[in-house]
Amino acid sequence: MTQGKTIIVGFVFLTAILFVTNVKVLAADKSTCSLNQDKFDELKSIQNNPLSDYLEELNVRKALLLNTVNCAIEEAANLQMNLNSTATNDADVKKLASQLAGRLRDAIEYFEIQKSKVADLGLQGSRDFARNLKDWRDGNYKPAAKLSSNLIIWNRNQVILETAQNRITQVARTMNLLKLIDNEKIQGLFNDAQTNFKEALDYNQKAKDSLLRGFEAPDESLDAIKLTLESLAKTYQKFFDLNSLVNIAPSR
Amino acid sequence: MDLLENIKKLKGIEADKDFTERSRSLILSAGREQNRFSFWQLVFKNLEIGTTLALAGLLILMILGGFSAWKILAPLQLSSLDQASLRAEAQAIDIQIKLAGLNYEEAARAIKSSESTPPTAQRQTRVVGKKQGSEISEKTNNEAVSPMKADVTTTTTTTPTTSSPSTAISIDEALKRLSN
Repeated sequence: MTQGKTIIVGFVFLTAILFVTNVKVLAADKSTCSLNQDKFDELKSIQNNPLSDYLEELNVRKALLLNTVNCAIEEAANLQMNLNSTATNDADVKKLASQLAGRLRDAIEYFEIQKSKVADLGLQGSRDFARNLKDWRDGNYKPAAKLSSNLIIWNRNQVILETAQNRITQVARTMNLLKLIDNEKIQGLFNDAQTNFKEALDYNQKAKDSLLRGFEAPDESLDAIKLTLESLAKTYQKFFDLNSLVNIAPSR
Repeated sequence: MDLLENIKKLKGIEADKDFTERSRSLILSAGREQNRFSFWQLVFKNLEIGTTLALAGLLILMILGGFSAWKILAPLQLSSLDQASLRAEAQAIDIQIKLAGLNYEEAARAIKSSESTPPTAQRQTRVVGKKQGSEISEKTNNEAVSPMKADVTTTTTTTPTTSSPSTAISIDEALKRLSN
């Protein structure tokens, strides 16, 4: 009887986990954004057709505008969500994330207000609307979005850097213990790995400094982030070379 | 009656005096001999027990896999350079490199996708554009890792996760087209 109860409880628990996981995946996949080429082809064919009336074109335009604004809202919401879930102990980074999340929230509110105006647009009004919205995005939304994206990637790099640091410490310990460090070639490779890693740390710090400078130069932080990753890639290349050199048996 | 008297006489039975003395001395000397060798016997006995326990423990350890003699003959294994974990860490770096190479729109989508879908299903977003990958090679070579050069244009399209016959358009491109 007790065993039976255990089986039932276990089954219910497993079902609950599967349900929650699937709901989460479904929720993540549920997207209202669908900007496809064929919709624009439809608009173009209406424009090129002398027999079609302006109402037909206007309806298609409005549908496309609504879709586009929905996509813009969704994009901003995604970034905001990722920013809010950025886990960091750094107070400056936290503050920046919070500021950027605030700007994205303002952008979402703006898009929602603009969305409500679409229904009342005329043909020329829809063109002006699209132009104004693009200008607004370029000037207000994009800098915040770029910086947010860079911050998120930078933050994810910290975990990778920590892992690499632990790896280097472990390898150094092993090398010293087994006196492998006396081998010139091995020592050379390990020194290279350490040099590359130090480079990665330097670039990482530069990226952080650029990020904290805000909107002055968002491309600068991204360049530093890419260089960090490049140096990390080189570090791991050295690990693989070391691996081959000490003739490690492949792990099962 | 005779029988009764004979039984009564049995009360007075005693061992022969010589026999008694001989037996006593034998008994006493046997006990003394044991006492003379007990220390060493104790030592050897303890040694025997200890060795038995140690060997039993070693056997259990070998059975449970805590020690494998054949590992001495196999190539040297360093857990700090375990290939599988190195590969996993290198793949994480590759993913980050790809993310950094995307523009912010695709990066946001890719980040969201990577956090909500299992690792095997992550590569559903395809970026169309010029991009040189910085693949970390596991083979021994002396070539430097080629730097990542992302040249993703603003009109880069991504294949949506749901199957669609049409190419997706970016928000900026959509607004640009609707401006005309």
